[in-house]
Order: sequence, then C-alpha cells, then structure tokens
Amino acid sequence: MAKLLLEIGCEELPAGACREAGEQLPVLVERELGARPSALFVGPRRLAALLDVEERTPDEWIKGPPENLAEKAAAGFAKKHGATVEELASREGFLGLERPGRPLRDVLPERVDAIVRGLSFSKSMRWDESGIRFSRPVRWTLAKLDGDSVVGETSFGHRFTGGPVEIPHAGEYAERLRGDGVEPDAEERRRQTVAGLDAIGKWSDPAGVLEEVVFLVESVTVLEGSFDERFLALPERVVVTAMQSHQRYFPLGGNRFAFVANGGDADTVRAGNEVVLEGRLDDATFTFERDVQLGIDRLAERLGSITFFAGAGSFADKGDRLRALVEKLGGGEASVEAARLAKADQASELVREFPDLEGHIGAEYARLAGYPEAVCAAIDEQYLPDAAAGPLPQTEAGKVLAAADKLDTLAVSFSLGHKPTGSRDPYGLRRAAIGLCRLAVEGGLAIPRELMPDEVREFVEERLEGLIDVPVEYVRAARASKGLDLGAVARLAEALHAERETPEFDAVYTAYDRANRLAGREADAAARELDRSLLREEAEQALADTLGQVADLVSADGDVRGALDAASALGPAMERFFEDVLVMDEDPAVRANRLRLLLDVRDTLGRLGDLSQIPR
Amino acid sequence: MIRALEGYWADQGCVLMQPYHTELAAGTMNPATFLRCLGPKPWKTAYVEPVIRPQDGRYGENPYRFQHYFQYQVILKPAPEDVLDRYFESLESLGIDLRRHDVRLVEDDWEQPTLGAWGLGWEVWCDGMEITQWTYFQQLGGVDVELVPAEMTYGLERLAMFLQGKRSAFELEWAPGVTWGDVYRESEREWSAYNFELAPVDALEARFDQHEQECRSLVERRLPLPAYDHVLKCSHAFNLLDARGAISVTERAAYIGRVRTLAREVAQLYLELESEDDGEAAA
Repeated sequence: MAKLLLEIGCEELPAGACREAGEQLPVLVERELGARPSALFVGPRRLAALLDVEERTPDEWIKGPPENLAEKAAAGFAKKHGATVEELASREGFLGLERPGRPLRDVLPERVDAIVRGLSFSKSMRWDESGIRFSRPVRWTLAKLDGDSVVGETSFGHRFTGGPVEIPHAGEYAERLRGDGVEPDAEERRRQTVAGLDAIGKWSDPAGVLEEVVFLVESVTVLEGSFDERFLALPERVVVTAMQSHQRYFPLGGNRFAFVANGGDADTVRAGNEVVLEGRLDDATFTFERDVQLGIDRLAERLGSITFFAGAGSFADKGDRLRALVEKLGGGEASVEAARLAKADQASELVREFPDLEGHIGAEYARLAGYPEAVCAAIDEQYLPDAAAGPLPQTEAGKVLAAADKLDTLAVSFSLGHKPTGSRDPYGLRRAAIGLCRLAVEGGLAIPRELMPDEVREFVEERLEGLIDVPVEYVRAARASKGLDLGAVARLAEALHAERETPEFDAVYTAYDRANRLAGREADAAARELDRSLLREEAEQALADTLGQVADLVSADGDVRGALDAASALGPAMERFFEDVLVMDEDPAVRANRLRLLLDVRDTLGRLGDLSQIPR
Repeated sequence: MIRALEGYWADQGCVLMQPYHTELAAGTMNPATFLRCLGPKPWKTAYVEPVIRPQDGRYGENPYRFQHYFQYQVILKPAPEDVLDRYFESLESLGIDLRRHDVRLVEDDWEQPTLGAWGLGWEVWCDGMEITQWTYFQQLGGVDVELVPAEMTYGLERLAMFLQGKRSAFELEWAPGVTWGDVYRESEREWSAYNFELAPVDALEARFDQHEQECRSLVERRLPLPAYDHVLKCSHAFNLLDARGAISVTERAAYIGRVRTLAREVAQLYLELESEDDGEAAA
C-alpha cells in the first residue's frame, strides 16, 4: 500500500463550486483510483484528497465472444481493444483479453486528468485550448505517491505570502501547507472562524455568510471593526444587510462588526474595511434621508407610475386590489390602512438599493410617520412566510395582509398565463401558494375558497397535499368537499384520516359509496326534487326522515367529528333501504324519485368530501 | 495612477487605446473590447474609458454615485496562464503592498444582456473595497469566444479613493490642488437634471428607431464597424429613456432584446468579414 495525494490547484473557486466539488470528489476518486479518500481538502484555491492505494492497478479480464463464435467475432473483438487474435485467451468458454494490472504511477496522469474532467459544476467556463470545463481555471495538478511526485512538482502556498511548497511525502500535505500559512481543511477553517468570532463577542449571522466565508479564505484571521454611531439612525436591518450581503461581515450588535481576512496587516485591513462599510452606510443614509423627507404617504402617491406586473397595472392598482381583498378577508381597520401603504416602499430609493428589505423599509417609514404599530407591523409582515418553513406573521393584520398579497399575486399571474412549469417558477407562485396554505392551517386565518379563481384554487389546494401530514387521497377527498375556507379543507382531511378506522366513518363511507355507485351513474334519470308522496316503502320513508334530521348537521366547516357522528345515522337507514327497496322500480316516477333520494344522500355526505378518493 | 497603469500594461505588450468617441455604459462596449475579443486573433489592449450611466447620477450630491466616471480597461486575449499574477503585479505598480492588505477574489458572474455577453470571474476586493471587475469572457454578441480573453476593469475613482484614503470621490486629488469635485461636480448636477428631467422622451424613442434602422442598413452594406456605433447609440438612448422612467418592465425587456439582436448581427458580420480577409490573405 502507498499513500497517494492528489491536488487540483485552481484560481479562486466560488463557495458553491467548492461544495459541489467536495461532494463529487470522493466518488470520482474512488472510480478512478479504486479507493475512497481518507481525507478531503476543499478550499478556494485547491481541491485535494489523500488515500491509501495499491501500487498496481488490478488485473482485468475483458470478456469477449463465446469460443464457438470465434471465427466470426474474434477479429472484431481483438481490433476493438487494440490487440491481435493471437493475444486472446479463453476462460470458461469465452474468448477474452487478459489485461494485467499496471503500476499505478504509469496510469496516474490519465486518471488525474479524468478526475479533473469528471468534476461538473452548475456554472462552468473554459479558459484555454484544453477544452476542460471547470468552475474557474485549473492552474496546477499535483499527484504524489508517498514521496514521489508523479504529476507536477510542488504545491503552492498562500497567494500573496507563499510560493511553491515542497511536499516531501503525501502524508505531510496538510502540515506543509499549514507551515506556509494555508489551512487546506474547510472544517478546520470553519472551526477557527467560529472560535475567532466567539472570542470577540456575541456575533450573529442572519444571512448565513459563514458558509461562504469558509470558502473565501485560505487562512483565517478574524478581525473586529466598528463604524460611526451616527449610522445607528438607519433601520437596523439596512445596516445588517449592508454588512452581510455586501461585505460578508458578522454583526456584533451596536456599531461593531467582525470579519474574516485572508491575510494582511490587521490594522491596515481593519481600517480599510471600516472605510468601506462607512461608505456603504453613508450611501444608504443619503438615500434613507431623501425617502424620509418625502414620507411614506408621498411615496404611496407615486405608486401609480410604477408597474407592478405587465398587464396587471401599477402598484397603485395593486394597492386598491389589496384593500378590497383585505376587506373580504374580514381584516380590521389596521389591515386596511396597512394595505393602502403596503407597497409605498416600492417607490423608495432605499428599496431599490436593498430589494430584500421590501416591506421592512415601508414599515420603518410608516413608524417614522407616526402610524399605529399594528399598521407598521402588518406592512413589515406582508411577505411572510417568505420561505417554505419560514416564520408566519404574528399579528392579525399582518396575516390578513400577507394572505391578500399572495391571493392577488396568484390571481394576477394565473390570469396572465404565468403558471409555474416544471422547476421554473420565476414569480415564486409555489412559495406564495404554500404560504397561503400555512396562513390558513397554522395561522388559523379564514381564507374563503371563493376568493380564488378555479385554477388558482386548484393550484393552492394541491400544495396542501404536500403540507399536511396525511395521505394525499384524504386531501383530495377533502378538496372536493363543500368546505368554505382553505383551513377547513385541511382540517377535514386530517379529521377523515384520524377517523378512518371508526365505525362512524365506516358507516358514512359505505353509505356514500353505495349511493354513489348506484345513483351516480343514473343521475340523469333522477327526479329533480324529492317527492315525499311517492315514497311508498317504510324503509325509504325512514331514510328520507333520517336524511332530513341530519342534513343540517353535516358540514365540513365546523366540528367534523360531530358531523361524522350525525351522518353515521344514515348507515343503518341505508342498509334497510337496500334490503327492502328495489330502486329500479317499474314505475318510472317512483324510480326517478328513489334515485333522487340516493343522490341527496350522496350529496349531503359529499359535503364531507369525495370519499370515493379514499382507498379501502 | 493612470500613468502607472499605462506604463505597466504597455510593458506587457498591450496596445494603448484612447477612450471611444460615443457614450458607453462600460469599457466592455468599446469596439476595442467587444469586437476585438471575437474571433481567433490574439489581442492585448489597455485604455481609460469614461463611462456614462444616466441612471446612476445623483446631482453631484452623493459621494459614491455618478452618471459619469472612469474605468481602466485591460484585455488579454488569450488569457495567459499567469494572468492573475500579472494583474496583481499591476496593483503593486500602483504601490499596493499585497502582503499588507487583504486582497481577495470574490465570485462575480458578469452578464450584459444588451450585448448578449457573459463571463465568469470575480470582484477583486482590497480590504473590503471592490477595486476591479475581473472576467473571463465566454460569449459576446451571443457568439462563443474562440480564444478566451481576460478582462480587467479597474474602477478608477474607487481605486483612487483607496490609494488616497479619501471617503468621497469629490475630495480626490485629481491634480495637485485640483479635486475631482472641482472638475466634475457641476457636470454631475447638470447632467443629472438632463438625464432625469429633461431628456426628450419622444425624440429619444425616435432616435432609437433611427439608429436601429441605420444599424440594419449598415449590416446589409457589410460595414460592421459603423454599424456597431449605432448599436452603442441605441444602447445609450435606451439608458436615457430608462433614466427618464419612460420604460415599463415589459418594454424594458423588448428594448434590451432589440439591442441584443443588433449586437448579435454585428458580431456575426464582423466574424464573417474577418474570416474572409484571412481567406484572401492565405490565397
């Protein structure tokens, strides 16, 4: 056994590319070199693996045609593999080629090349005539078998402070690089970064830049900086966003921040970063003050000239629709006021600079203008939940406004034909639909189904199937119910599933099923209304009576358990009916009346959904 | 600073070009980059480019935003293996000690939809300040590049602010005793007023159409170089219309598509003529 080091030296790889390479490298290395890496090093300028290998590749037997076809096939087979017929051997009735293993060092250059070419990236480029595609140019490769360099000569150290680095033995790779100021191990860089941040103070990382920073540096120096306190007048999230998404800093609270440098003189680097951040904050302050000078009401007045969506009018039109929706959702005064101001920040300069802070910036401007906190909070929360598992609005007005916003976006997009296809969903409609479902299910907001056009309702309710924890058949059954609001559909699906093994459910299911099977097909032949005078048999009168008694109690909108209990009374009545009554009576009027009775039973029970969807 | 860059890149064998004579929103749009980076011929150039971005004007009130500023543009086609080292050496020629500062390459994928162009590269950060946009072109005018060029675009004001330790571009010492603000502040104010308030929308729309028309007819006459100037003029007319707020979101996409189509036609014609020339030369 020998120790093999493989290193691919690159120009600075993006963090995403590092992660992709880190996932693929073990598999590729095993495929090309026959063993999985015992250690993996992933960073911006190098991808490396250490592994224990046999010094010869294994002998190979390339199986060819059966011996009895030798005359016809041997020559072709030999030619294909670059051999002569005489070189073919035979084993167990087949011709074939014995390929003895070769010293690993002989095949290593081609295997290393295959690994480099085998890595694939979601974004890749070419840079020279080699035709290789990679995330960024590959500038060196090094392969060492124990102490021998088989491909390349040396590694290279830190870009600015290091030079060529001799690796005397594959096993000394990490140690030698560390000696030159490079930490090749991503885990170790992460550990050092976290330790460095912890040592400075209470840091935060709401945007998750740590994962990127680990792949932005080869040597970790955690530094602390601060900015002038006057910038604390800016909305806090503007400051945090400037620090995090622009500069990849970690806020420490107040006017302090931490960041990770790749080297340099600490004081020089700190001073430079402070100037840059203050520049960004200065720029934001300039914009912020211009917005505030105008005020949120004046901003709202400008919405008429900003297009919301081609074909769907301006943001002013959107605001009008939101107000109407908020009222239909039963929102109070705060949510109506919030709907009026909800999109005002689209006219602000600060949102143009910080698009991720839409809503939040509007809320800050509303606060500065003295609007009640309920209004401001609702403006702040209008885009929630903004991720599949993200938090919901906390205030009632916020929930109402958030639902109205999503209802409008969905309705407008669908009406213009912008429906998500496959994995493409540029307008975030899936997220909006899931958000609506969560507002209804988890947020307890009543969202009338009638507020959604048919197509939108279909699309939104399909999301329920993935969201609630019951088999899809129950959700599909419940979607066909007469439940009035989105939350009721979810509660019904859950209740049907929870009750599926009770005698009541069984009675209702059976009654529905029998009525549906028999009368469903003959619906055209049924009377339009039940005529009690035509009910001759006692069993059919009893069924009609029972139906009359329970009808008002069977509803998907209230207590489903109670509805099932009530409806289950139809079970015995149906059983008697089928024992005593022949539906297909000779008298067409009687027959039509009986079909109607069964359809009434089915439709009443059908308020609890299309139970035929549920497998039994 | 400009002299240092000119000296350094001239020593690297670059043709020192001068700024182009019509409004450009980026040094990339100069034909010395856009057209010369197409095709199989090696090309090295370096030049200052004043860039005009009407939307970025702030009436000379904001120390970081201008509708007119300077880039220093370098093209090495094909990109040599040590191209990054050469770039870093250029920073040293400006007096930046790479060991004292934290210089980093931060992922930045460049795309210019109006030119049908994209590439992969980085923002170069020096102590957190973006000082250069660095790109390996992959496509220009919708055509895959044959020899991959490296493009280095230095932001001259940013770089100067960094070197002089100034917090506002207006305070930059542009010449002894003369600040950048002395030279350009008034022009920022006046041009912002023009770009945002006065530029004539109807006339600009008409001009866009005329330039588009003229570009087309020049393409038919197989004159890609003058045709390309009209692509640039269309692009500038579009930028002005955009600054005037005269373009809705849908129209925007349509305008960009029109400029891109022109850019593609010109790029293809340029390549055709170049290969015909080579054919004749060989014959």
